[in-house]
Amino acid sequence: MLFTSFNFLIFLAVLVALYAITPQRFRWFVLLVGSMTFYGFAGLHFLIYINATIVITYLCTIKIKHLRLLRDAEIEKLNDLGLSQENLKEARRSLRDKTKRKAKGWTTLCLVLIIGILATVKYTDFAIENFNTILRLFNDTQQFSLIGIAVPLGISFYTFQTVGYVIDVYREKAEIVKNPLKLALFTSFFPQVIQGPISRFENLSKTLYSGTQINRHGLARGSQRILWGFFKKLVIADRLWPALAFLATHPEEYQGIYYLFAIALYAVVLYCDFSGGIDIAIGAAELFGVRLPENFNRPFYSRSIQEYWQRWHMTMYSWFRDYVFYPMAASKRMLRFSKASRRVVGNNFAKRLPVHISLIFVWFLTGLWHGATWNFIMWGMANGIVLMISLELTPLYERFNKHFPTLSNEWFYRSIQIFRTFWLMNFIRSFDIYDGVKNTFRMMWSVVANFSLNEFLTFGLSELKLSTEEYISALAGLLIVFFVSFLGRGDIDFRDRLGEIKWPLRYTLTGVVLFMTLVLGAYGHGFDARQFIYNIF
Amino acid sequence: MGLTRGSLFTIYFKIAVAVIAFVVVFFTLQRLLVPKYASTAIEGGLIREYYNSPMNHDVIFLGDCEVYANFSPITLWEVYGITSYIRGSPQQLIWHSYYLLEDTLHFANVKPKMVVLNVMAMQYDEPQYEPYNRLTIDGMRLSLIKLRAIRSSRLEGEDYLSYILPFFRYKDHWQSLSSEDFRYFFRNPQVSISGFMIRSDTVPVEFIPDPIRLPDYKFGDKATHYLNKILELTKEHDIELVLVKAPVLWPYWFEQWDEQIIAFANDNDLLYVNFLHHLDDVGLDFTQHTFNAGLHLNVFGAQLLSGYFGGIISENYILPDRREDAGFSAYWEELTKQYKHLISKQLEEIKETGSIHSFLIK
Repeated sequence: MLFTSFNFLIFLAVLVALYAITPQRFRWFVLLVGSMTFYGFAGLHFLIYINATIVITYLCTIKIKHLRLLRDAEIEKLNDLGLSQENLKEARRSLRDKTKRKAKGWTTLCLVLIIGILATVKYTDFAIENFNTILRLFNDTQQFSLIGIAVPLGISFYTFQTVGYVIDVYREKAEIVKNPLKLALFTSFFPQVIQGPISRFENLSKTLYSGTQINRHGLARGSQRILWGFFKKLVIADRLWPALAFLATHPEEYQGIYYLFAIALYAVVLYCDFSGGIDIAIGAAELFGVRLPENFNRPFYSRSIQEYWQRWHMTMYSWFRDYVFYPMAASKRMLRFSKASRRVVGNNFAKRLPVHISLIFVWFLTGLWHGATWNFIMWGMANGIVLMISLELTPLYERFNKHFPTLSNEWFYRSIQIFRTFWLMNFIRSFDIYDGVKNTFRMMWSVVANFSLNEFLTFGLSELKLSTEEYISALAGLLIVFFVSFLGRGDIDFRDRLGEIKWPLRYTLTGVVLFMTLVLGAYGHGFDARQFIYNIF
Repeated sequence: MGLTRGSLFTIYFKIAVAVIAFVVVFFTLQRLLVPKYASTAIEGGLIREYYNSPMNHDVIFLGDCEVYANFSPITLWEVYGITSYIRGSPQQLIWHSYYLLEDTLHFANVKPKMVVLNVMAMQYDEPQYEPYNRLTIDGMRLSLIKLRAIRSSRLEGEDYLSYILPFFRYKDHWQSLSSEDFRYFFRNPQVSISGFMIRSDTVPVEFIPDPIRLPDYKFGDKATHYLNKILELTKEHDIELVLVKAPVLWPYWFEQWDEQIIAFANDNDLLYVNFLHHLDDVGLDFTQHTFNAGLHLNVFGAQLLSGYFGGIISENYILPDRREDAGFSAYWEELTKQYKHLISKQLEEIKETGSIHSFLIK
């Protein structure tokens, strides 16, 4: 069930009504039934995968809970044995270590199994394809056929969310859920299951199970946020999509300046598509009083690539940071490796080596997470390499800033940095647009080899499957998005600003956005209801 | 903390204002964006016009372009005093005709005495093309009958909502709004005379395309089912059913199809007139009486056909001559005036420019 479908709105309305009439302590159960129903719409057989993940996670975490209860009981017993303070301390430590080792074993088993499900359904064919390519290189005629498993909706998102929970349980940062149905709700909560945001248990559980009474304020704010998501998705992303799809599928004809147009267009389409979907997810959760984390913070205002990744798909970035990057960069093995490499690369670089290696590994995984293609892997690696170079250049920037201390506050310098970051990210995102790595590099090269302003001025955008009216309407929508993001600066939710306005004007503004979405939105007859781009990940 | 009566009133007031404003703006936009059928595809206006008529006709024609272009209710009135209305639209499928008959029986002020069904649509057993569905169903008044018509006709990707609220079908018309959309904002253009679309121009037949052989000539189950339903409905309401095949040269009407209709008519004791066998009796000359090379008759061909057909039905059935009835004659005289006015206007345009430009009655 597509977020932007009429069916979804009906589903949401029915669920809100059911939630409102259900007694508070059972409301979370309504959300669970709703979430499973929502997921079942994508295909009943997909329920098997998500429920397998839930059952595995539940059994392993409950085992860890039992281990800890046992440990606590034994520590309690130790107190009664009359041991010396020193022996008591030692015995307690030994018990804790033993429990930790066992918990680690169960955690590892859990992670292997649930990541194994993800890897099997998402990456088996990719692995077979690559293996076949290697066989062909050695002139081996033997080729293995692909297994062609349909990838369950949102499997990357719910798997990552569950992995985060399991690790937090191991780290004793998250409470272990005793009720398997509550764990099922955490894993499958319908607004976020298909494209995030990726929530942490300790945050989401605060509101997910509380059964907050539906109220006017929550309904109004949730509906506003949903409307805003629809606006971004339908008026801008889906309206511009045909032009982008046309450019992406005609790389031979549209190179050079058209390539630059395509990558800038993709930035707009992807942002409005993904952040629009997140707006709908956050808004839908707000209707039930559930708070989901923000996933975007005006990313196109970023002045560096590091900053960009702290503002774009924030929950994924922080997930990789907390669950892969930090544990890897600070691991004992990495520190030993850093020490050992001092002689070869020098003291200073050896200190930074764990960071660089972890960075590249994380971005390799990030690329792979986005999709089982070499394009995504290249996209991830490109991000990693640029971040690594940027880290290496930090001393140079610092020296530059020391010489020109006021420059970084100048608007034009900030604009240059924003411009640079925007285009750098656009070039990296090319891997996401064009088919094949080689093709993408060729398109990049076309900026140098095949740049014709004259061609662009002659043919313009008229050949790109969109009418002038459609460009104008998308541009109008984009200006509104820009205006709202400008007003929403400084961590202020635009809806709070809207709430300060007198109601006739507030209603009128909301009405304008609503009718713009209804009239200018790309949906209905003549349009293929298009999935959100991130639904496929 | 509970809300005071005053603040509750304010909340309800705000909600009421928002809902009313939404409804007003929504329906204003819908009215602006739906096609007016004033200059292009004017056939799209045919079905809705029925509800502006007195809905007291003795004869109802059902079918596709073979009825709305070929039978002239004015001739039937002038020569025989028969009041008739054509409920026809482009590629009107047999189940469309069934639901339009139900719709007529539901909304009509006086029940018809005869239904004339053109059988050309029997060849189709599945909905064909979304725009044709629209040209028929959009014009129907909202009722359970319309909902059933939608259910029977929907193609993949079509939904109920956009039939009930056509805004969702035509919203993208904002890109091509024209002065016509504003001119006909408050009223629809009148495109027919009692469901008949007037064409006074002539494009003679030069050649007739060869028929394409079909793998199977048997009418489909769905078409047969709805033909039977039309028969049952007319029996139930004590209405005479007459089957006709209009005298147009193509698309081709196969002998095998004709045999099935003859068998159906014989089995059910119905009159079936295949006018293709009566071309000389009607007096049709396809160098003069067609406006698009034998596909449809022009108004002069329609007058000949209607005169001939009126003779058949007035001989075989008891249909009242309403010409002496003041209540009817005033209305039909006005229609006749409009009819003749448009014909002379079109003929004048042909004389001056070689083609016609006026299609609307008003």
